[in-house]
Amino acid sequence: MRDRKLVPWLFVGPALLVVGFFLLYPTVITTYMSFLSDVSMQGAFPAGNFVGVSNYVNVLTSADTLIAFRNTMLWIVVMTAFTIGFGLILAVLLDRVKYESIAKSVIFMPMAVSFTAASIIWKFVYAYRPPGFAQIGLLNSLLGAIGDFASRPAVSSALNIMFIAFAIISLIFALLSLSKGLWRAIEVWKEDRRLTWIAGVVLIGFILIAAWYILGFAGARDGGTPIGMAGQTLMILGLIGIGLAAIRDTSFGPPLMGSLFLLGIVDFMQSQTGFEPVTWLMERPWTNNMALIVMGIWVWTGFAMVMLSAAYKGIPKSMLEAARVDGANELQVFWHVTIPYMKTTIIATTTTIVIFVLKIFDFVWVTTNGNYGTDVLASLMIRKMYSFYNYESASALAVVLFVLIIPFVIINIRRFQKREAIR
Amino acid sequence: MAEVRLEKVTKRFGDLTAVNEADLKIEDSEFIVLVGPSGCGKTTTLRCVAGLEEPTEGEVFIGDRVVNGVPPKDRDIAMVFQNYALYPHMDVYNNIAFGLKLRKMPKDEIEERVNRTAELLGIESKLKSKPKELSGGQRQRVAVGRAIARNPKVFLFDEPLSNLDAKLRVQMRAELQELHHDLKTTSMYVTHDQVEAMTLGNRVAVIDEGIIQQYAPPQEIYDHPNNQFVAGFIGSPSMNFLSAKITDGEEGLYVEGEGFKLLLPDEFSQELQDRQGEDVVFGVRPEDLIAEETMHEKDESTRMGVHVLVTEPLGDEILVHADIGDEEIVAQLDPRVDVAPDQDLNLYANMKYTHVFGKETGNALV
Repeated sequence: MRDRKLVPWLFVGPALLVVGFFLLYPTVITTYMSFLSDVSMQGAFPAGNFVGVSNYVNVLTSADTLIAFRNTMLWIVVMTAFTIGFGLILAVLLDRVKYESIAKSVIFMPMAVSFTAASIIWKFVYAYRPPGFAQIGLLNSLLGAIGDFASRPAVSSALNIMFIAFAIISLIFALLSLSKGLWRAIEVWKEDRRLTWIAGVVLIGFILIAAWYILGFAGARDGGTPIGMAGQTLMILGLIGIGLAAIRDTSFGPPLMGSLFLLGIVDFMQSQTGFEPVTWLMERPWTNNMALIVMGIWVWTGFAMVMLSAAYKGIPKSMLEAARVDGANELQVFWHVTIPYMKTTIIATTTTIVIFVLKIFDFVWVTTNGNYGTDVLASLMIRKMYSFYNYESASALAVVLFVLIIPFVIINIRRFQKREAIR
Repeated sequence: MAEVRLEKVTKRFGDLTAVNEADLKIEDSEFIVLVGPSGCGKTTTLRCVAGLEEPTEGEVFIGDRVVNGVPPKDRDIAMVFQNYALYPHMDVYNNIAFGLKLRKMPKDEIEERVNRTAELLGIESKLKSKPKELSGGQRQRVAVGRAIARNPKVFLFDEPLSNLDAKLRVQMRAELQELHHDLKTTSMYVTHDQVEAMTLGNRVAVIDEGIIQQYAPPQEIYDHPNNQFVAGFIGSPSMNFLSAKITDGEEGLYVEGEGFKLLLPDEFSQELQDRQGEDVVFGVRPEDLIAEETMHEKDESTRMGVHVLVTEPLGDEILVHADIGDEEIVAQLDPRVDVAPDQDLNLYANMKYTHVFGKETGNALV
């Protein structure tokens, strides 16, 4: 009997020791340290004055931590949403492509590059030289080239004509789809009033935005920044999409989307005339943080795509066919059958990415070193620790980060256990 | 409800021709069965009607409308799949209601239809359950319910019973028959099980290698198979085939092979008159072979002397595997016949129900 109790411990023992020393012990020390001031190490244990939660109060109220919190939140929301979104779209679309494995390998490639190397690559993409110097950054030189091209007299006048043409075409299709949408809304009124309200609100919003967009074009064009204009265009495309989806009438949708897309491109090219190089990593707070987040998306989309693609391939084909026979179009099949079927994987991938994003560090550290208001929790923690030797605040921050991550880890473990239990 | 018509429908996958110039007409409210060995193209034919495959050539009609190029959702059909294909994240109610919701039917009508369907299929108590909580038979009922709730023009069944255990299969088969009797919706049913084909179909299409071999009511297919494939495929145990020649004799035409010389009935002689000396395949079903002991009047001109190899007593019958010449023959005999392996046995063929096929073509000559 004694042997039976002893043997398992013998096997687990070394592992426990290692985990205890490298994981448990530092965690306890760090947590303890976060309640002290004037810390110094006495042997293997920290010593100092116990100050209660005042380190936490400092950390949670100081301006730099608040910026780091805001940025981390931004990272979580934007990066997770885009990686999952792109991953899902790629997983579904690449499934129908002949060269699927090659395309997937290419998209997954960034994941194989070390984050530091990826950051350096992107640092070159965003590199800035003052106007008049040769631009070595990909983005600045590209936009500059577009600007030069668009300001040639012939191109410029062609763009002007195209702009007016696409604006008129878009307007016609917008009015057509609007009138059809309104007609549909009246029809639907008899069946489902809630839907009509949604459609109505969206339609009114659509009319207002379209009016503002079309009327205010001339003015907006001169004052708008390139990103602002592109963002505006995208936002309006999105809104129209939502509007059309809400009224469930898409017959004029594709041509409208198409001509608005072209209008957006023309507008974008025009807005680049007289382009001035942008300091992508210094424009706070949105441009530089978004520029950093784009790096994260670039790296992690491959991961999301691989996970979701595996789940997508696991969907029984006959279930999708059943939905098609049942009367669903491809979008409805995707929304009502594919997505719910992949839900568990989507959640698992999301939590995995959120856990990673909470700990995000390399991208920020290598590119901006946390300057220009780009700090995130992890980079701030390292800075407090090794640049300012502020062990107390760093420990408190570490504990906060730890606490934030716990729920997502629990979700992941629970899912894992559930899956194991089914087996 | 509507008739369905396939005109010269051909479907190729690369070099493989899955369906070859299929002509098929299903009358309004008819129940037809497509039967054949696996890989014969029966499911592909069904999927062409469903719109899940697009025919390479030929036209598919539902009602008066050509539906080539029409997506499945606009064909007003319903399909029941072999693995049920229920939506695992929806409860039974929503599984059945899904198609109705997509058609933007008012809520109260959806509710009424779902409840009526559930009642019809005896799954009222399961409406709140998820598919994984149901047994195989219940899942199948939900899959059928999903099809009938929409009240479509055509039902398509793709081997719906093959995942069920034997007992349940028999029960569901009867239920499907009853359902069709009540609803009278035009139905196409794909199966590899000949019992299902025989019991369910108003007409049966036997398919092999993408070609419809015969399309007729089940009894006609059984009694008058067009060719050797149909003869061998329908019927269990399957028909015996023996190489033979047509010869002339004093009482009429004989079919003569190694170990037997049998007098053909007069009805056969007209067709076979010109084929004297020709190589043919003689077909006789196991149940049309009778043992000497159970014969009332022995007609020596129908006697076959065989050597018994194995016997399989099944209670209500006994299957005897025996040698005749170089070939093997199976007889389904009365269980009271005393027969043991390694003995010689006289069998008498019920010549009226025998078949003669061309050696090369395999087509029925009579």
